[in-house]
Amino acid sequence: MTISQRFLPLLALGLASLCHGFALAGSSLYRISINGMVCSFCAQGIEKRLKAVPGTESVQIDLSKGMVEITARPGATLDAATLKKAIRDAGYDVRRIEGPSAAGSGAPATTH
Amino acid sequence: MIFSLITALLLLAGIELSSRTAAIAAPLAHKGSIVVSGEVEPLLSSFTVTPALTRSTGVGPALHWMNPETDNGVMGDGDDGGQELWSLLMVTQRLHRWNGAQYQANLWAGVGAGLLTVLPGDGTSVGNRAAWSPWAQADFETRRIYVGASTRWFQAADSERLITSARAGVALTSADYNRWQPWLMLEARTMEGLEQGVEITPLLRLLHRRVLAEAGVSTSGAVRLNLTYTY
Repeated sequence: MTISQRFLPLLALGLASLCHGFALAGSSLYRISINGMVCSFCAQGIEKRLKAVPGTESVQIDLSKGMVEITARPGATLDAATLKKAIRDAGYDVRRIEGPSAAGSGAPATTH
Repeated sequence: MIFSLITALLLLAGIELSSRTAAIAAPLAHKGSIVVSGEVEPLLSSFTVTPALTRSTGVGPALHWMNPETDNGVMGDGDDGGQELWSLLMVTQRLHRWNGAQYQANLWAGVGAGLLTVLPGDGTSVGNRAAWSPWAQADFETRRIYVGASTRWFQAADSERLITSARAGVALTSADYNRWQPWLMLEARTMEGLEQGVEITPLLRLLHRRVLAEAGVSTSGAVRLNLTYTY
């Protein structure tokens, strides 16, 4: 058995552990209720501002409920004040922020 | 609360009797955005670019091309009777916004300064004149209803135009971020110095994220097309 053949399983194990570590870190989910977001013209501005917040992975808009869901990048935490400022810069007001919670998990913590 | 706000806005609109040329839902978008708007019709066509310096203030250029009717009456006794190009630098200011869970209401004001160029029928320029143009707008909208009113005054030596409009609209479908939302709008407008009487125009509005498009035909048979895009 060559040296490379002996080290290949160790290398594979190391890579697997690294990937598992990222998976454990997971993604955080934030739910924000927004006042004044009544049309898609309004919502696109909110989406653009929130996507520019460092650590944001994706933004989902629910126009009928006036709600936005933000998924943070794995391991990243989004600051509530930064999210509020992004929404205020778009011209709207935050009614409530819930999060962070693990994406796909139950009810997140609430910040008013 | 909502009904008292609607009443207040309608009263304000009635008192001000005012109108902005391209009366869209929001003349200004989010901070850092640029709203580009064009409106085409026989008597009055406009092209505006409004970069938002802050979430409530925008500054940008505006071009308004006017083609007054020969017997336009009321205003501008010294009018040359030719086509007009108003080239202005506009300041757009959102004075206040009320954001509610189910509604949004706004008070807007602005002023532009620049030049009026009058072109006689043979296309020869008769020179430029200093011009200015203040305007104001009030609007209220929910996910299914829009009401608004605006007024705009164009003034230069020997030329004066006052455009006043009121609008109401209803969405034909529920608001969905991933789909186009059609609206049926109805506008009543007077254009003192351009034409006599009240012009009524039903418009079909299509709204989807960055795009707002409108098309309609007025009671006098004039075709109107509006297109607004946000960068």
